Amino acid sequence: MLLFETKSLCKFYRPGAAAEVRALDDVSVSIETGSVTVVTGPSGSGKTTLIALLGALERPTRGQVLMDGRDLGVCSDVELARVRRRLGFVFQDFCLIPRFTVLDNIIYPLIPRGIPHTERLRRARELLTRFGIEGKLHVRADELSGGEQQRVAIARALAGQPDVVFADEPTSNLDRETGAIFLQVLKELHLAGKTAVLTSHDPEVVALATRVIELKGGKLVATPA
Amino acid sequence: MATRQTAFLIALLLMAGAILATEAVADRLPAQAEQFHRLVGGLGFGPALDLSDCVFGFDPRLDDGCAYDRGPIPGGACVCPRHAGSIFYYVKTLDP
Amino acid sequence: MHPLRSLVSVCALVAVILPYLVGMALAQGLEAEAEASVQFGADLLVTGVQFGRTVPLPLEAIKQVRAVDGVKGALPRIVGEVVLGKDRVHAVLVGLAVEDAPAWSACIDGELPKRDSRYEIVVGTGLARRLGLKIGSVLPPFYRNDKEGERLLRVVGVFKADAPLWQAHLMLTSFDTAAIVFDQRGAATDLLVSCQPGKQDEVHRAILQRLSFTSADGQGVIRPKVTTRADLLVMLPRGVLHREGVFNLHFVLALVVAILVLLVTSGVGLTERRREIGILKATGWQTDEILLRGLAESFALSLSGACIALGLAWLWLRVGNGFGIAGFFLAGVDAVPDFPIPFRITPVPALLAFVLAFVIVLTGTLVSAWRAAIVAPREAIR
Repeated sequence: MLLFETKSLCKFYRPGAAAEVRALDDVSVSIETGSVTVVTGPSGSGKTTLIALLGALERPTRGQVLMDGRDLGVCSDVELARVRRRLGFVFQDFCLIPRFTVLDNIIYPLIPRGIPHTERLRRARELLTRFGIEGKLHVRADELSGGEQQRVAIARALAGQPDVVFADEPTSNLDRETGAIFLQVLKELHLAGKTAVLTSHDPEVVALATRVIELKGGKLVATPA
Repeated sequence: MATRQTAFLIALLLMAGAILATEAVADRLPAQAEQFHRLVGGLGFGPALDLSDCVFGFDPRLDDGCAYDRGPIPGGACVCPRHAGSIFYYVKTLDP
Repeated sequence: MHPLRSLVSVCALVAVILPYLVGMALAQGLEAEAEASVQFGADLLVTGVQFGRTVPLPLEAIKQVRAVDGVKGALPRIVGEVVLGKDRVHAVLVGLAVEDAPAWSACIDGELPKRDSRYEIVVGTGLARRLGLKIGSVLPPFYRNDKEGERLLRVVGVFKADAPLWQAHLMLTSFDTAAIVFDQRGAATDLLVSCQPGKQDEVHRAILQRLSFTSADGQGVIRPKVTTRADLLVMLPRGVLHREGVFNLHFVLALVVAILVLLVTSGVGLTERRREIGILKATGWQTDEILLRGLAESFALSLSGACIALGLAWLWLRVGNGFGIAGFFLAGVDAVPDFPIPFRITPVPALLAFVLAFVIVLTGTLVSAWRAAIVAPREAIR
């Protein structure tokens, strides 16, 4: 079943200006429910922009992003916020709130989802234990190493038990052991029928993909079935 | 962190409540008020402690009004230095 | 809540609200004192009017007033200003027949001037401290009297510190002594009239309508002016709606400054704040939920600021006795007051203080919060 579909999707920054940047230019792809889709391409090819548009983090300049047949480009802010509650996002630069503790960074996104406090704590502890950083519960995010921050970012994305996980270079800062844990989580998500959309150069991640999308210069290179 | 902040806020509220409760049960009248005023026949009303510059600011019973009153000029009602910065401002209503 | 920004906000709030609370507390303390002065003072106060201005009364007025039906007693009083010492300390000299009031001497350490004595005084705590006076001290002559000459005045009593604040610069003596000091025989500044129960209005009307007195030169007429308790109570500033005067002007200015401070501090760390809001939105928070969270933070900040200001105001007045600030509001009070400063902290000013704090914080932070909250998540995070 089709979960996401983009139709002639374009994202331009500073449109019309001399310094216009065409991050995405006429990209049409589809993503099935339950698939593991990896978006590859050189740096600046528009990978991050594509998953940001799919994840309702910004609106397209032209074209459409459809989720379950619904055009995200015309949704209100409230509707987009509700869409994001079904999603989990792992950012390339982690995007933790530096002055929050590890625990707060994980449980804060669960608050608008209406999850009770005890359940929020349980999920946070479970995920942190799985990623081997349960001892850092009350440490401020800006006091963690890069690898630890990435683990927290992944835990945050998974804590809401999302239908779709977006991840931008999720294993880039992870050691082999933790990277293996992440791959295991990815497999479990896939088996559970969840959808994952990732950008990665990691061959082990690409190997798990049910679908690979390649971008170059903001344009689609190949869309194998 | 949130718990500590909440606890701090609750502590502040309790402190404020304690202050208001303490003040509420404190004697409204000064300790020797009756004795003093019976003795001198009722003296003093305003925020001045002597008669220099503004007798009216000491006790309006003793004078007709504030000599510094510049009203109705805005703010002119109280340029008198003896009216407590106007926290305790009263105007002449006692006609001869 | 951002710690540094919260601290600056709370400090700005306290800086504005603290003087306001202290001022209001002093105002309400003064109100209680003034009420007592009215309540326990004479039933009626009679002064003279000449050329439309208050003037002393001739002593012949006593007999006329006592003759009015319903009058229990009429006591002449002299209230005047003297200046003492090389430091030119201003004092209020009050002369009346103090020997008629033995029960009221509980507000004095020492004793009242004796019935037939002259040149005995009771001084207030402020005068005692500034002039170095105690019971048994003598004051060198500070007045001029060509007929009787100038004499030493002996201190026989000092008012207690917890007597009303007007005792501080007071000198209480007999009527005769006061007349000698001011060299004004045959006159009183006012008459303290006590009435039979329920007869005050009648006596008031009778004095105004029927009495008049001859001026000292025998040529002019002095009309009586009567002040009742009701007249004074109408004048009494009540509550917290002090609309007039410079206090409110200063306060409005301080309010504006506080809002500006908060506008600036809310701009500090704006990029960080935008990023935080962007991350929250990216993880499922709605704009209005974020704004509501900001509102809750503002509420907590306001409450903190108001409570801290209330605590500091109480400490400043109760423990510090208004050190430094009492002299700003009470004319004649030193930085270290000589008596317990009258004040009352009541719920309404405290509540107003919180409302003001909330208005300040909200005005200073709402715009920046809204601007940060409406940006798309990815743009905010970048």
